[in-house]
Amino acid sequence: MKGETIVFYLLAALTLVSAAMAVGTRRIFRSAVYLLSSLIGIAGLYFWMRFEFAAAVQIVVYAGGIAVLIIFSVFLTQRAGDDMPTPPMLRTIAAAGAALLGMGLVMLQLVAHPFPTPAVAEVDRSVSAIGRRMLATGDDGFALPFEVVSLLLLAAMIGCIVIAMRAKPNQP
Amino acid sequence: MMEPGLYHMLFIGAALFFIGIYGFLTRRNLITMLMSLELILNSVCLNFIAFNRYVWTDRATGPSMSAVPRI
Amino acid sequence: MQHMWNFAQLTDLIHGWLYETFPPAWALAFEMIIVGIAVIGLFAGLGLVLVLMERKVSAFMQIRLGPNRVGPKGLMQSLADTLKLLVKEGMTPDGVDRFLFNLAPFIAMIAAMLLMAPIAFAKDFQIWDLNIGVLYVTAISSLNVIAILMAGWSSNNKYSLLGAMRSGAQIVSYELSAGLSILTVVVLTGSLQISDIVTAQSNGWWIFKGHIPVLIAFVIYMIAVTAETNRAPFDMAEAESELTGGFHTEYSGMKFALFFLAEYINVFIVCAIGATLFLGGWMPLHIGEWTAFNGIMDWIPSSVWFFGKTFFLIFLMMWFRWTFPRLRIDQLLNLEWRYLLPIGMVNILLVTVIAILKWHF
Repeated sequence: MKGETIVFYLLAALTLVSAAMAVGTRRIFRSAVYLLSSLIGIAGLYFWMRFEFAAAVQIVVYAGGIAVLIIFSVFLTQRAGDDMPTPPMLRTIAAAGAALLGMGLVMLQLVAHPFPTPAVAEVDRSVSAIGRRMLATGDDGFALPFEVVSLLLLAAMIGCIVIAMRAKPNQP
Repeated sequence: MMEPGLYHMLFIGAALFFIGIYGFLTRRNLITMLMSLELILNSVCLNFIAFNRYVWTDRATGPSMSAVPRI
Repeated sequence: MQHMWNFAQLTDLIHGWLYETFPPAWALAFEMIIVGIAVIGLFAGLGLVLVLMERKVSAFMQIRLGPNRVGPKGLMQSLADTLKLLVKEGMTPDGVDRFLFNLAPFIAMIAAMLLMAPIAFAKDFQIWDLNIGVLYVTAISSLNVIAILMAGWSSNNKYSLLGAMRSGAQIVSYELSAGLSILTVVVLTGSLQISDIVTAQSNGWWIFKGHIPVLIAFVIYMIAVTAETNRAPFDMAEAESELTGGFHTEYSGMKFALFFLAEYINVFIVCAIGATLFLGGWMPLHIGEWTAFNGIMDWIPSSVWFFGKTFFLIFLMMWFRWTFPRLRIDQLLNLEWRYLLPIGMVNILLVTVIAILKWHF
């Protein structure tokens, strides 16, 4: 067994086990921390597949942004020290059954489906190549999604400002 | 079967997706439901990147496409 | 020009010997172990030096002697302090979330260790020259805030929680400014890789070549990283006079020492990145076509250049600490969102124009 393979299985185990613990634990803060470690495991998988840029963006967005956001909202809105109530037994069983059934169906499809063998040509995956593709308009370009996403971000920013802006008290 | 490849990555993606589904169905709390949703979104990104790595290596659609849902 | 101390020869020698003697997998494992030991050794050395330097610099600023009893001129003081922290009892208060309480210092430490990877300590002497260099640094350094939030929450202490919340707000907002000023150099170089950035400065450092905008970016970077590492005048997270100790109030013994060490290592790392981006990293001071002058500068080893620049920046941060009074939290956030961020955004536009029109030298 090669070293690379061992690293892959360790990363996969980190991702899946901490994801399962994130949805299973009853303490909300721990849940956020497990979620973060699962997402970092995914970033590790990206590194393993040599998509360094995707991995770095994953860490920036999730560790620096979303995890902090979630932890702050836990601090501000929840009584973070308390245990969450356990869901009723029936719902747990139903949800687990649904998830397992879906998983089984997907796996059946997956094993039966032959994927085409990879093309020989490896494309340039450097940061500048991704940047060019983001602004290209041709067949392989992503200019339209990029612009739509920036519009969405603009809308979100304006929304933030509107919410954060306090109505001015009427001063005499 | 031991050598990791496309099927292993897709398995991880599918497992993450259904762990997310399970969490989404059992939790009754907005923040924890959001966390489960994050797992689901991440499984999608993982699949994009895995397909790009193992099947359509001649295009760089994966990283670009996976950057879009992230934002 | 031949450098006096060439680390590339040394590393090549070890690399070649390992791969000749052992199978590749084992050789790789041995290399990892060597690198790990080297990094831990560097950590310990830096921790000792920086703590002593902090105390000596503060003593100098306040016209006193500083530590002067242990060893000649107090040089062994931080060694004695380390020994004291090691043998102290590590207490875990009641009602804490034990798992997270014990995990937090290690997360801070691991994040600091991972940040060592892309730093070029000397010519051809770098652990991992990955192609997203500075992006990797900004990504990993955002893990620090998680460690602080974990420590603050799991301590089950309102001072810790307040310190952690302040620190979270502060780090998340100042990261933006630091990122923008890092981007200015990335725009000028056209690459994220650390070795490319250093090579681009072989005919002059960016702070000289990039005119006023890079100078502004450098000033913003220094302010932002001072805030990001939670140092005075931005030490809202600890604020001894208000919060008794902030997020590490409840920590003692070895775990406190880990937080303390991680803080100083982070100071070193941000200064090393600043030196790499703006002051040329290990690149000696070269001025245009002055061959004789450049030749003399080349005789100084590249590691001396790197550590000299880094320690100069560290000295600058220690100088800040004893010069400015601590900011209030609202002043802190105003400074970032009303001044630094808009200035940084306009600045990066200017730099883009300069880079496109090739106005830089």
